[in-house]
Amino acid sequence: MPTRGIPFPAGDPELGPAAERAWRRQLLDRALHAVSTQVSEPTVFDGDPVQ
Amino acid sequence: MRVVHYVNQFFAGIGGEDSAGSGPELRDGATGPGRKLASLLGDEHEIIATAVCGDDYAAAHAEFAAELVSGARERGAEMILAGPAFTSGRYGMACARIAAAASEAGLPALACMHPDNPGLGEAAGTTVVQSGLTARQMKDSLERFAAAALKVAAGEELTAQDGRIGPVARANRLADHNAAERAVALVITRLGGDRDATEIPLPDFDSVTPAAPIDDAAQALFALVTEGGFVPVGNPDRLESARATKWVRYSLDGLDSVDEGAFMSVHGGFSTQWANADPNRILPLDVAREMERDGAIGRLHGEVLATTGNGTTVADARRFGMEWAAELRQQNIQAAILTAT
Repeated sequence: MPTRGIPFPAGDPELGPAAERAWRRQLLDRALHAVSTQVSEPTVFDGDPVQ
Repeated sequence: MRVVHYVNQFFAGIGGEDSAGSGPELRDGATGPGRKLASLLGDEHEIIATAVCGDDYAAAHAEFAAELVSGARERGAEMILAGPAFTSGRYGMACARIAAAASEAGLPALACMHPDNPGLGEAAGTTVVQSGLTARQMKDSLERFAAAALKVAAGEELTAQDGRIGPVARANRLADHNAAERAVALVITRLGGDRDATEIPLPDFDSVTPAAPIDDAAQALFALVTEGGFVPVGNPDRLESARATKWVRYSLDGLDSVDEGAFMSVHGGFSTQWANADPNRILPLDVAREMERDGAIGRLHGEVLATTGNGTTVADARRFGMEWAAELRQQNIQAAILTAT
């Protein structure tokens, strides 16, 4: 899963506190989708899961 | 020679994955594949004992190897053999560690595994001979293992022809032919079809088979792990900021987030000002707790496992990964989220 910067893999200091936290939630929702998906080779998860 | 032979819990007949946490022990005589190995070694050598350890235990407790080698020496062992481990990663790592510990203690030693076994990377300073891919090739593997062991027992050096694999210490020696002659000979060898012929073997990077997906995140136990140099303020265990040789673990019990002034990053590869101002940017505990509360995940593991991924050697990184995987499996964790910097 690509993120927005090496020094803050689970954040984005450019955003305000509430927006940054929403971004972090979005990342972890994407992580849940990734670990629930069958893969057979290196796979990039850069889109948000379809609910 | 008096030989001690190492096998894992499975080949010792203790059990499968359910017994992988069993600790190190020495048993009298040969066990499992050791019986066939003993007969192949002939009358001049005797397997006096079998050293056994569960794969998860061995991966999580590196000191098991020195403990077993010391026990083997007390029983009068003159040589240590380990395996064959085929492509079983934790077993291969255990065999490499046993052989390395024996070599360090001055005992001739030999491990046996497949060239794709990730444990091969741990074999620096000791000798490894090639096995087949799986236990279906047990017979051939034991024959090659025994033939190589007889050479090691006789004090001879193993070569690629004997099935030697893995890191080979480079030593100066006088060659019979000068560099130009050897280079031409190598070109001819390669033109003749041997595309891998070389005087300087390069490291071989393995590929990793992805784990199966989890069925239901809402029921699963999750762990948060990171290579972001994540530690409590003050870095009590002195985790390195570069070239880490260890990993650390800290309790997350009772914490709803990881706050400024309580946790920090010691990573030496980037500016840590943003991580230190809000450590949830390195370890997303605040949101993970929210997901635990609202039922998106089953439960969060009570500890974070952390190291620093900055100039870390492949061998150390592979070891951390295997130790983390063994640790997480022992805790019945189904998924891990690894934040990488």
